[in-house]
Amino acid sequence: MYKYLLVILEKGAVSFCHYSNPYYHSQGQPSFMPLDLLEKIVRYARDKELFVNFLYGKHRLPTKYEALIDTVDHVKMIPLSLQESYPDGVLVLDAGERDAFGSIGKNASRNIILRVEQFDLRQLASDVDLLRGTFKRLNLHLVGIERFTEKDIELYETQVKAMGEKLQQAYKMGGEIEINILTDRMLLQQMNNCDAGVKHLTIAPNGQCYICPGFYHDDEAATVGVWNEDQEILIDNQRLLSLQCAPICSQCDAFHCKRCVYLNQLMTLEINVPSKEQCVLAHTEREASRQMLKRLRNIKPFDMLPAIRSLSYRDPFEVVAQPIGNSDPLLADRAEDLDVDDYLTQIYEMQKKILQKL
Amino acid sequence: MELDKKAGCGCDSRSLIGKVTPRERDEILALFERKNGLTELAHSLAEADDDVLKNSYFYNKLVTDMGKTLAKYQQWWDDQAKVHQWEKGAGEAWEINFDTCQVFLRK
Amino acid sequence: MAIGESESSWQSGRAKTITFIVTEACQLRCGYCYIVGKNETNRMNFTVAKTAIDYILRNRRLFDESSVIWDFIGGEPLLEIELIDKICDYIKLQMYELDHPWFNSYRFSFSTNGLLYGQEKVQRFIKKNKRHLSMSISIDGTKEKHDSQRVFPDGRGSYDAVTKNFPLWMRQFPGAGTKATVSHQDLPLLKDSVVHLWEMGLKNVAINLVSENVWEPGDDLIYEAQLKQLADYIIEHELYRTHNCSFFLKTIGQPIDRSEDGNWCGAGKMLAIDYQGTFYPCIRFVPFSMQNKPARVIGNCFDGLDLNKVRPFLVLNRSMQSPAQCLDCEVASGCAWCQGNNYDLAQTDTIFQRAVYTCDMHKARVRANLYFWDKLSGTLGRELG
Repeated sequence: MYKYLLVILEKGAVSFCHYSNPYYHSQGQPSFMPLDLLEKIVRYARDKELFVNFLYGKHRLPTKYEALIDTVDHVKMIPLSLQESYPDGVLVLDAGERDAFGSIGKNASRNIILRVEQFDLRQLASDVDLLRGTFKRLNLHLVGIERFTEKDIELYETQVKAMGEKLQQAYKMGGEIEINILTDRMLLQQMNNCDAGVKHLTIAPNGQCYICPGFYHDDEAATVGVWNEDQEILIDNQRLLSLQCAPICSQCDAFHCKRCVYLNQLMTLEINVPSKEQCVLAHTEREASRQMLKRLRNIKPFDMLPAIRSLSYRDPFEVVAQPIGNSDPLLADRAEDLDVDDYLTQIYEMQKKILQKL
Repeated sequence: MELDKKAGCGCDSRSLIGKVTPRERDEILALFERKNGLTELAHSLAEADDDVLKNSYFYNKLVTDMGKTLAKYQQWWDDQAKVHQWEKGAGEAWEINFDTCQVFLRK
Repeated sequence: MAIGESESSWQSGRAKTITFIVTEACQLRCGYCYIVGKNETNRMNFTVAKTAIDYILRNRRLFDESSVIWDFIGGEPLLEIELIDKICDYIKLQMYELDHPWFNSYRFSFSTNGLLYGQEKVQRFIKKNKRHLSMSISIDGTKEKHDSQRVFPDGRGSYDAVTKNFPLWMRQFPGAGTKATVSHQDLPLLKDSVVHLWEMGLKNVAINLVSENVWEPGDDLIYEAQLKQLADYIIEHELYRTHNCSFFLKTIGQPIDRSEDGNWCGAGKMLAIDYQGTFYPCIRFVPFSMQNKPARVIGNCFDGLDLNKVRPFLVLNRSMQSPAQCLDCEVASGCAWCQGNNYDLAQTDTIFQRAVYTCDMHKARVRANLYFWDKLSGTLGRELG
């Protein structure tokens, strides 16, 4: 059922996505996941041929842990402070660490994650510029979306456009770097989401399972069960994590969107319904991809990619939601109840240009 | 003129004399509702503290509004009667059923 | 209204319903009441109501319906008639002063146990707002049935105290309906209760089963038998042209095409406001209605509506909350649910899981409907000869 596991190695593990970990900056000794628990998890993953994402904190692991981790197919998600210790790890950066970006070694084949908060938006495009040469693929994740205002979204749009123009130039010069929020939508023909709780499960240092680390860090009581190597964890109402049970997302084509269920739960209280902010941000990115693809049409391999259609809305909720009341009597009344002259008069009053066109 | 919402309310001394369009119904319904709203707002003001009543601008506005609304209300019936050639005698009244747009003469 | 016809709601259901939960106190302790914590402490004050009204009237973009129903509920709302009177005066004044379109299309609506209906303060309020009032008194049927559930704290039935106000109520609101409720214990009294209400002059009886899971094995058969007895009574006494009972509808018991995916319940499209000014998608999501789950808040009158919290209600559809057995059901139409109840009983904190314990009761109703309409068409066929 699950394709891979997310294992949080210590309570202060790095946040690699939209959620925040309030313990990340905690001082003092780290509290690692118990070694015996880790042994069981690694053995399980090997037996089931599951890939494992290990989430590291700021502290280098004890040798026994490192040896154990090396026995299973995995990727290390590490903070900047551990880049020397684990040069093969996926670097997780906060935009606020930009002063240290210069210490990141050039590496055109690496994946980097960049987390961007509200106050970092203004410098987003220049932060990405600072990282040029250090990655093949950059995954941008916005943090604190629940606090974003309309102004933040407008600012983001400006920054994404600026990034798009530079990326477009890079592609025209034959560059092969990827930035998730711009590149992915051009390439995707169907949804490519996080699928937390569907394709992967998170195991925390306390031995409990969670849909994703965000749920664990928010509230340890939000567990979906105690991890047990002998029994598959069944999540209550797991169907609500699937695309088919997402009323807005199932009709959306912002395929690159992660459909973050943690943010859904946080902002709308429903795990299968995204907030307006999530949708608008995803469509801002979609539009930037659309524009970029249009301008790259005469370059291989972009000439082979299907066009992204233009939309009149930024929020698919507008086309999915059931109407609340209806102050328009023309639309509310049954056609059989309307006098023909009235009907035509009301159409004319709504659309005076119709008669001109006729 | 009394307006009632439903037919068959137990009053059987009336006859059907015609029907208006839904748009015409909406016109008189809006006037009817506004007339009722102004009347009942006046009831509330009558009970209110003196401070409110002392706001003569507000009170005068209400009175003026009531006058205009009643005039439009009457005008609607006069216009419809002319178009449909409805007649009524002393002590008789026209009624409209807002659901069906039917107009009745109550004797 | 004839049997099988649906009561047309004011403005065809297009009005925005805004419910003020003015008190959590009630003189009664009805057995089936969804309010699990009645108390005398939690009462709305005028400042909270005023703040809510100001917010609603000044945010036309969020509340853009052409009409409004200002609804007052409790507990027992008439316990707070002075507050309600003040609130309604303020509402009228503000709607007029702001030149709000709702001034030309509003109603004040009450669901009351009827005990205080004849009180002077209540009557004064009614007289002042008569043309805009919808006043429904809850009576469950025969004295035996009513008094089995709708009781005072000392266990006495309230039937006599309520019905003494009936003549006044029916004189003031001819054509008004009652809200009658049926629970497990009083199923065997269902037919007699409907007939009794008709005999009292209430020709249009809205009667429903409780939405909570109170049903026991065999209840569906009792329910079906009672409805069939009622059906026979209606036909024998030729009441089908002049009397109505909400149990019998022509439209129930059909399969529903998957493309017809609207939600049954209006939760989220209405607004309920508690004594603290907190906003809820409907009264069934407030703390005192919840037995298992936290209340579902969608904002408050000070900070406003949180549209993200409303969003799920507006995209909630039938297919994403119903199990396959419901989606494929051959007699699905007319099967109702309460969103608040669904949420309270769901495995997780979600509105996307429908409780299905009413299935047998719905099917019993469908069978009774088939029996009735079949028999009626045979009777009418013979009449036409």
